[in-house]
Amino acid sequence: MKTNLYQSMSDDELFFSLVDRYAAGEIPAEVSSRFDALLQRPDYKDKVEVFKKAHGKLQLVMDGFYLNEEQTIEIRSFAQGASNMTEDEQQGIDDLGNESKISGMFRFLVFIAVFGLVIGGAIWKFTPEKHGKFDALYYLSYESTVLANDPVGRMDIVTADPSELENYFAKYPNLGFKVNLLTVPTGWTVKGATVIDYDFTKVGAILYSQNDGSDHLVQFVWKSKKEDLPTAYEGKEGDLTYASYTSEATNLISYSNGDDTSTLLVGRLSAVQMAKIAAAKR
Amino acid sequence: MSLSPSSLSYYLNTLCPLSDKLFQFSHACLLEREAALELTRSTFTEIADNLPSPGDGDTDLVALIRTAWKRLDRQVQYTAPKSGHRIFQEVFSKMNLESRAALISIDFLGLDEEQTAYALGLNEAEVCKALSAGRKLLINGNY
Repeated sequence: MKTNLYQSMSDDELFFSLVDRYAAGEIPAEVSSRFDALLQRPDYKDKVEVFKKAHGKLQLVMDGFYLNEEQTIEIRSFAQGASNMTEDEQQGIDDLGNESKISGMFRFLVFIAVFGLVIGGAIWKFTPEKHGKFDALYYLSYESTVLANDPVGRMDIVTADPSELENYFAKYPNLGFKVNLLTVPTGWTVKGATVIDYDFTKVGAILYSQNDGSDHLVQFVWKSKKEDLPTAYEGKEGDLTYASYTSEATNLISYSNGDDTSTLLVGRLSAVQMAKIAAAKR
Repeated sequence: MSLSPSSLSYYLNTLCPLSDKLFQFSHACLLEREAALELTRSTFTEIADNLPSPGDGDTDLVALIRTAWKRLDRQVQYTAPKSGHRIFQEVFSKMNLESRAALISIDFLGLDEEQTAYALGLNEAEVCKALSAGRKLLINGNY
């Protein structure tokens, strides 16, 4: 279907416009042999992996740009000027004026009040329940650094006993979801946990560390849907499907827990190593 | 122009939640926060006065981007301010405008080439060319 398009492309155009599909295992059959041949060349050889990392960074950086609440409200208000009143509402206002013996000033105030109610009511009715924006990658990357740097100061409970931690989460007031700890490999220990209470969501956080303290892994669990996180390349480890992201200093993977919660793991381990740990529990 | 309740609902519940995405598109194109904010505002003002037909989520975003792209002055050489993020200074500012728009639409906003071509008023070959040039800079920039 797009054969002519692909044939007319230079090597650079073909490689760089299809590198995402190659990474996703969806390279069109009609160009797969040409693409494979390009991958043998030194100038393209490692570019697929570099693209995956660059794509992850792009996602992370761009997610950090968003409108603040005031700007969002301003954009919503553009519809107010264009809203109309129904004939019945207008008639109601007219009736108020005709039937009463009140002064012109009072009628004017009534008009303003009803108009405000109509517009305010419409905005209120059609406005979805307001939740703050929770940019999980942005906030939790930061939280992971803070937790690892100051575990005692930041954690509610410091213990290496997993059952104590599960009990802590089970009894946490209004947490609303269950937290299952990871089964960490030999040489790693759970250090403690806390609940980060944002205005609009609670996040369970568990810190694991290597026994010599040289590396850390933070597990975050919170109520969310898969689409709440930015798109990323998906990997599989056993029956676990996960999305991986990367930043300057850490790797992150996210996956659904099969209920209405997600887990985000943040650490310096590779995405595949973290996925193996996550899959071990399942 | 007045909005019926269903149009008001479409504006508030479907289009307004896409304002962050339009802002991100605008930011990547214009390289500067205030200019991106102004383009986002003016696009939504135009949209409020002339609502597109409801789409299926992806196509709602396409309509917003198409409107913003038409409003954008493509003769201007946009530059990233020194106070801006590194990605604007070191990567995006080296791309031409079409490459920035294609890259952000496909690699960040998740549109496909066909939707991007429609939004940017280009054909698919032009989108692929712009996208490949943008990705090459993104990859080789080793950002």
